[in-house]
Amino acid sequence: MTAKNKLYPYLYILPAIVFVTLITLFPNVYSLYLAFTNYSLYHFQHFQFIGLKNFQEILFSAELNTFFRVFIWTLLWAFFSVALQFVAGLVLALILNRKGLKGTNFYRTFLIVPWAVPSFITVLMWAGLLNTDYGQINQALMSFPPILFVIKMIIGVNNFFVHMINWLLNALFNHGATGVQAKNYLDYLMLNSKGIVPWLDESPWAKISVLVVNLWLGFPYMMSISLGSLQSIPSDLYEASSLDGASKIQQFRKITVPMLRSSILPVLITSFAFNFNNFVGIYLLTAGGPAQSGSVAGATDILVSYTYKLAFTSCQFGLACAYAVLIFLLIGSLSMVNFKLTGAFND
Amino acid sequence: MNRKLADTALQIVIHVFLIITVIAVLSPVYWIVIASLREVGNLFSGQSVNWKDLSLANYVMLLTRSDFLLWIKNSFIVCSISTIICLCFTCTAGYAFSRFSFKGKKNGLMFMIIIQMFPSMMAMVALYNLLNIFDRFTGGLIGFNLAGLILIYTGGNIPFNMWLIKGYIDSLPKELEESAYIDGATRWQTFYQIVLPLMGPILAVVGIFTFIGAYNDFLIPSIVLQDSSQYTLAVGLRSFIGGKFSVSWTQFAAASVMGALPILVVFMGLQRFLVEGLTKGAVKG
Repeated sequence: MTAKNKLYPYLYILPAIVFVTLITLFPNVYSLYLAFTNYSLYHFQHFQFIGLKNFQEILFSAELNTFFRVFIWTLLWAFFSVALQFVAGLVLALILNRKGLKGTNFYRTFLIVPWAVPSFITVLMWAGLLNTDYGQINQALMSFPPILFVIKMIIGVNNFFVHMINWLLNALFNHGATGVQAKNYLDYLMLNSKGIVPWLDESPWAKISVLVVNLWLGFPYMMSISLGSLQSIPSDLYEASSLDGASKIQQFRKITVPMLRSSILPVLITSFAFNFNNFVGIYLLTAGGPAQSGSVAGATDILVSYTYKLAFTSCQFGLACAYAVLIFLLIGSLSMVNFKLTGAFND
Repeated sequence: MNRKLADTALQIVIHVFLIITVIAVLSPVYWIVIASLREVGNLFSGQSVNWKDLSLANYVMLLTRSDFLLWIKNSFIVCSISTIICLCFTCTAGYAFSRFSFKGKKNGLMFMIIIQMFPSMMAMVALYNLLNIFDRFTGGLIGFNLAGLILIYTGGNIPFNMWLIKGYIDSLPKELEESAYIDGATRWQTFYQIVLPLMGPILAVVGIFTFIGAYNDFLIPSIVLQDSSQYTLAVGLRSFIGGKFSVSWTQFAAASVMGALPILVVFMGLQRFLVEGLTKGAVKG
């Protein structure tokens, strides 16, 4: 089937190409150019081409510390997000895929709910639930007697030691105002002065919180994908192998895992790339915080949210674009691997 | 006999595990719904729920004395218009890339793949400048407003959607079109009257996911929209809560419930259809 007029096919693709060029290609190329300029609040009207200076600043100056810290956390965040979501999703899928289990559809419908709620609402909602002082999570923990008891014990022991040591220090040096004071041992347990968990306000807890929220957000997708590919494994494979005397564990290792691998691996890579740039998952929960001294980047800031802050809070547009280019290079190479795997280029 | 007993025990363990999981997964939702029904003053009165005190006051307040309806309206305008325009452009492009052979077809497809790899963050600084230019040329018609947002979503969603639609048309049999063509139908008639009606399912899946994607987005509107009367729900809700959870938590909860409901209903209603459409696409690549 060939059209008589050679230009005819182009009419069909013209609107799409024009829009993509104008809205996606052109801005990206322009951003690429901006990465080599000193475009910022101080050079807003008349910015100049400065070569590789922005990249130099990221990789060979004090900024390297921030870049390194944020980059490592971005990798950990993306990796653990995918790992947790996938393991939870797969386990649930394996259970739901069991033959003869009643109520599969019932469970599946409810387990898919987090996926059906718009993610920005989910994340904002969790930000409220995890609020240290007013949040429902801490209230629920506090209203649970055993936990309350443990908290009271911890505070009691802590206060006892603090008072004892302060009393001793006072007795020994006889002037309490010297500034020699006992430490608050609650710091070691990462609890705040009321003995409760500061979910979003302290660094290790904030990191755990964003990961847990992301697990809640993302496991239904992984569950559905896993369930889909489990069901596409021909059942005669299992029947034949069980006739040959294979155990359930052997079947899982020799049939399920290899059959899943080819279809799940691209999904995992795509999901890693998505979470690498999952702005909403971080920014709406902690806004990148808690703040770290000497840097715009907070403890939970990932590269995209840090770039966002550089561009739209501290107006360092050139530097932000340089960061965006680095993100593109990292994710672009990952996508290339993925396209090779799925054979998208073989078309 | 023993075997059967063990089986039943296992079944019970599995059901208990699943029920606990479902409760753990749904409890945040339950808390939000309960919070939304509480009195404005009665914020954090512990866990116990006094069913008599629950009311719809927060909902009434949001619908009558806040910008909530405006945000929802803005979100629906942006999402539906950008989705419709995007679908129009992608189904013709997908058809051409699937059925025509022309010079530059391979490069065009490659372009559509590679363009997807750019993180949306990367274009943002430049898009800001681009909208500035549009703003000046169109006298404020397209700029830092809903129209600008529609433009960005339309362009941004084309490459991925085009791939999905092209993949779907590839899987349709060619015979129908060929016989129509032989019977004297023009190419446009063939596309419009034969291929397009067959594309219903894929257009629905792609359309709904494009709509939800735009509805969910926070990054782009937070940069583009500057006037609070133009806010979409994502930006509006965030500015509404603005870190003051203690003050407006119950109203925020009510806004969350109402904002999530349309998407939740559509998603759950078409669950089978959507999940299948997406997982098939994802697993196939």
